Amino acid sequence: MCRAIQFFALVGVFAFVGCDAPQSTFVYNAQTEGLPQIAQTGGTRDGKKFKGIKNVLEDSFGTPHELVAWEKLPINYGGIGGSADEDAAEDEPAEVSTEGVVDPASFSFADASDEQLAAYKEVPGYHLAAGRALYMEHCLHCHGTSGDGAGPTAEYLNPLPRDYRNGVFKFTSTNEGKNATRADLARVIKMGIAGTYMPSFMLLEDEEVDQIVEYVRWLSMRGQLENALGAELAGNYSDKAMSERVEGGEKRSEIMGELREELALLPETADGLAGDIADAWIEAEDPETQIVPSIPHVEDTEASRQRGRAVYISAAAKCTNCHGAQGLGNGKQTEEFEANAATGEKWPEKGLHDMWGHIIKPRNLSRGIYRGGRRPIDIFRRVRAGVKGSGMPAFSTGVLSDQQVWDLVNYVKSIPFGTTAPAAVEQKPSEPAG
Amino acid sequence: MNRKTFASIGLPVTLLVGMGLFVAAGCVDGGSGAKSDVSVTVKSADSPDSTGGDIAGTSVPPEAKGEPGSLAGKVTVTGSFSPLAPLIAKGTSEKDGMYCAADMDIPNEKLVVKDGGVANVVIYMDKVPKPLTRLPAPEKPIVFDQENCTFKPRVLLCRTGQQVRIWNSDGAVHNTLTRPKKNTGFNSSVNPMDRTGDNAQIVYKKPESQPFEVACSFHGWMKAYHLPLDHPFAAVTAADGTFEIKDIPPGKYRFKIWHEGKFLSRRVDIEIKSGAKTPLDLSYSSEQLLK
Repeated sequence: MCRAIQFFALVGVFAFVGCDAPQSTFVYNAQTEGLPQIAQTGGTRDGKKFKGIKNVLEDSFGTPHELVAWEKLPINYGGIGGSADEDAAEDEPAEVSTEGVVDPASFSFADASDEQLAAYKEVPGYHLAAGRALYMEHCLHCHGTSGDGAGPTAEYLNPLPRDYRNGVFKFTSTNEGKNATRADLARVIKMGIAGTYMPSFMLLEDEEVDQIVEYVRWLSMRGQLENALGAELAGNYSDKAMSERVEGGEKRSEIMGELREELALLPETADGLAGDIADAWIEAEDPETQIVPSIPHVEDTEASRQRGRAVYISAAAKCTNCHGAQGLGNGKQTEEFEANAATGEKWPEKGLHDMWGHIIKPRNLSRGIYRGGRRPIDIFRRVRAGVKGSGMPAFSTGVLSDQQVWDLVNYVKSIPFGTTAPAAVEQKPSEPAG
Repeated sequence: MNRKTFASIGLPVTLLVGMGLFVAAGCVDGGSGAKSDVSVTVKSADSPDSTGGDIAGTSVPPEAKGEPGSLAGKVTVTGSFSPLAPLIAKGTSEKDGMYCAADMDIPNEKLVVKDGGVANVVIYMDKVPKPLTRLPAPEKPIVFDQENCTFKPRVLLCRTGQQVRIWNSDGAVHNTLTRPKKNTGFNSSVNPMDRTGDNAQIVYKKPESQPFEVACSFHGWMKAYHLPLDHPFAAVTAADGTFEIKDIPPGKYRFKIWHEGKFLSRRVDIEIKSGAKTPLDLSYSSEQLLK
């Protein structure tokens, strides 16, 4: 009896404590957290209030419960005017509650009647709100509320979920250095990423996928703005910079005064930076930015594979350096201690690292699993654009012609079947990569 | 209160209240907030009102009175300094030995000293008054070369919007890799013996607050720095440690002094007088420079 009481008492406690669903919040990156408090949350100067990075971000993006649709950004918010949605009426009410009408957050395309569908699209910002609901349902567990790739399950995964906050996505159809397109992201969501924990969401409606894409782009832009704002200030006011400046004879109070002056201009700075961020996403959608081969897929013949093999082992392409002579992903560079390209310091462990600072293995091409997609055009684009954020470089048209890349595609696709003549160079393979 | 009473009355109440809350608070959501209320507020694309003004401590007269001046001097090393051993001695490179260190050593450029003068120190204006950041960038592209598996120059200054053309004077293929703070990174192969730069160009859109590293994916020892700025008031010391920054409008400015991944001084206040050459000689110990 006593145990039963305890049990039910516990259920009661659980109900009181655990069931009050916590409010989701956006987190901030280490760079922001490492700045003086006034740079984070603002303060006053000459009796006038100024904002910090966190305030500016909240003004521009809101919270996970109160989203802000900033028209400066090229996001299709749905029913809200702005750069992305030209047809929308101009004077929409500024504050729109989605209560009462159709709630985009719990809206289901599968169950909706025609009337509900029509009513749903009358709600300004429905696209973003629906994207948020879908993201919270399907994506947050790995990618995190803020898109930092640190959701609750992330620590159990290898490879780790993408941290979107620097605006970099690995697999794009766009040229070197360009952002991903909406179609690139939609494809990854629908197809998943083979060989990783990213599943396929093919069962979602196209419009639902589009909504997730917009929400992910929005989260990404939020992260980019945070990074950019932090970078503006970190050079002079990070912990390290401050202590070096004090050591160099400057007074801390003077430095803080200077910081206050800069912070007074922060909303303006953010506006300029957001413009740059927006431009890059707009440019990504420009057809000029797409990688489109000038010749159709070269026929997959023995001769083409042999030519591709020659490219693979050539000094110009150096594929063997990372992928190994047999394509096992065990090239000699995977055994080296590399320098961190962002800091110049050597990594403590050997192997290749991506821009997120994680160990990364060159693809084992003998397994026939292609993360960026298995269509010939996908592999063509991996060579032309590189894998963004990883060590896989872009090979421009001056380095490899379209014909050569197609030959390479044919060869790479033949590796799992071992149908092309063996290695023409000797290289002792180490342990094959995963 | 005895236990029996609690059991007979308290238990059902607790249970019911508990269950009620469980349902009401939306526990089915698991706390992710997927089903919770969301509002969307529109923020206009209009830019915030300009509060204007430049950072105190730097000032350029709006009417730019007087003739431009210059800042010139030399960076020297104090005490004795023995040259660093080469990174790779001639003929000993394990990678691309036909091209790298084939005819001469690959030097260690962490500290380059000639007659006491220190090369590759960057002197650049900080907190630049707004009008001075609107000067047009030179149209002439700037060349960043690779020779003897070494980047040339070690430190490259350029302007935002100015084209940087990447050459490769070696017979070996190089792969230039950057991960700047504010600009888009670059990761692309450069053909052997390509002295056109047609296939590898960088245009930095934003100024960086300090030089960032450039690496070659294939040759781990290769290292250089790029610093894109939105103004021309910067210089890298030459092989003998000297530098000159010309055409600075008279005014009070602050400069930063940087060398190989660290600041030697984060703030040097300097007044440029009309038509005059302002001297700036700096000296550091080799320990400071090698830190």
